[in-house]
Amino acid sequence: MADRAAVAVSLPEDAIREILVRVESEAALFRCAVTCKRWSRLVADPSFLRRRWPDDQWVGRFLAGFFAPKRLDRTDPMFRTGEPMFATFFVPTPRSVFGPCRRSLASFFPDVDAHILDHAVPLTARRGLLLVCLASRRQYNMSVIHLAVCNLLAGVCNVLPLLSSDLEFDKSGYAILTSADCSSSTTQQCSQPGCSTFFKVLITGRRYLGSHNLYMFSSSEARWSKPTQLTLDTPGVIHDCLHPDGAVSRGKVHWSVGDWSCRCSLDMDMETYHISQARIMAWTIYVETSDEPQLGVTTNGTPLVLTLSRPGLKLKISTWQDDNKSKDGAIAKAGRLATRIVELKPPRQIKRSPNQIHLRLLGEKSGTMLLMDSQRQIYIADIETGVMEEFELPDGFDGLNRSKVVLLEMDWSALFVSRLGKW
Amino acid sequence: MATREAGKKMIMLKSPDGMEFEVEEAVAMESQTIRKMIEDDCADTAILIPNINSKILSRVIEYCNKHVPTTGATGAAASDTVAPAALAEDLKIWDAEFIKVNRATRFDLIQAASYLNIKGLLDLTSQTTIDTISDNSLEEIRSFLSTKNDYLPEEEQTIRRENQWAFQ
Repeated sequence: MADRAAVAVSLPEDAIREILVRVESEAALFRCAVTCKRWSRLVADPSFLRRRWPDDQWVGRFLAGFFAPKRLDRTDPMFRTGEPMFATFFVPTPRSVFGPCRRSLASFFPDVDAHILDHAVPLTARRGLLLVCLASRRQYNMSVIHLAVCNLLAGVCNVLPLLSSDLEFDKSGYAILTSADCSSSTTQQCSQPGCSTFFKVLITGRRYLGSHNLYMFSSSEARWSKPTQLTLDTPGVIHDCLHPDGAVSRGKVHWSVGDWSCRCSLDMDMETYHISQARIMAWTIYVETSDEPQLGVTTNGTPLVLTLSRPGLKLKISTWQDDNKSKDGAIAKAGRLATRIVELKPPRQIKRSPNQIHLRLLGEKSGTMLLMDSQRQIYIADIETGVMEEFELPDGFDGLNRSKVVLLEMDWSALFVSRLGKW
Repeated sequence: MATREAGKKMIMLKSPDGMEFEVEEAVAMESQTIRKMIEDDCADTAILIPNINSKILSRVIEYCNKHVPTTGATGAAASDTVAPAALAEDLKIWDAEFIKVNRATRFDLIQAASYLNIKGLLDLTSQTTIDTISDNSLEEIRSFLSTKNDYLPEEEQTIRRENQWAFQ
């Protein structure tokens, strides 16, 4: 026994690191990390985390669950007479890092008045940060909107200064960028994985008078920038956003936009704020043969479009990339590079034939889709393998659709730092 | 002392307990650490390998000898007539035999492979450990690695409560 103990103690940190970095499963790595405090520090170390989950790749992200409005019963402790019958809740995916039970958004922030967060509307989430609208007020053609950025791991809720404008906030697109996204340009903060508190909020949308504008908030300046007018290089109008949540790819943000005739992707360069708009699908096609297209990002950071056949189990993945970038940074034209079909594999207990299965795509983040079938059963599915896993939708989430759901994407590095850093 | 013998450059490796091993340069260069020393011209005399005793070093050299890419020169005559697939299979069997050592030796080999930066050996030696710690519970990992649990019972309870995802 004494000999054995001596062996492990003498195993140098380099060798331990070499072993741990090869542990594939995140759960196993976590268990190893908490065998003793020394290992915990070793794993939570920035250099180890950077090696395990290189930051320039999209592999270190995962889906932890989603936010959606839950109907409140009169017996519910959160129910207040004369107030909305709904509150924002978090529903975890299987084996979620936030535990197996649904919980209210307010429960993540014990120091914040629950009253404020119960009716907050989730807009977009990225790497454990959730942007919510606390309240909005409209008078004539002016709106006042009150936003907050919630750090779900730290339990910190940053309430942003009031934004008053003639922007149509409910038709706008939102995005959160972190220091890892902005490291090349604006921020000089050292990007220790999972440690930086820097964030940036982008809003794009149409003003009542017609022109499209960009609003920006940076946590380092702590104020809203002056709005910038956005124009397309090509003739045509910029459509309204169909979902507030933006997908962030390598260097760009993408919003799903459209009108009665088509669905498009509105793409914005993170450095130049140049925008372009590319048509994804004509209206008539998707309404007849498939669900609404969903924008996403591949594991190496290129944008993609997901379309689900209806009925059936065929998922079409189109990789979306700029044809070329001209010298002045303007994007000439976006084009579809490749299309492939992934066959979805439902859990074995579902014996219906594919043409009897009507799936709805509720969203996608980090390579995982959230699906719901016509019998209100929800699933997560891997977009690479097509493997579906069902899980239970708690009561009170009736009539879920894409516009009500915001998926929570998390970052393994940040999670490990948050859960191990204190030991 | 780099010497020339039968057209091959030789390198002298020295363990801290005073043993000397003369190996072909190509074999020694399986180790990225030694490769770098040779390329930086720091290897004109014997290379001292700290922290690795002669018993382990001889096993490491044995591994490198087996895994050095065969160039069809003398000494690799046996592999000339064998197809690459069969050779790889043969190497796999050899590896499996090589790693049949007790845990203390295996940890020593991991340490040596990590210091000398020999990726293949590191993958081979750490794989069993990784398999064991990937599939087992916290208690089993602790006993396997003989790590001492220095969390207070209430601290460990907090960790388990907060991180059910990792303990399912």
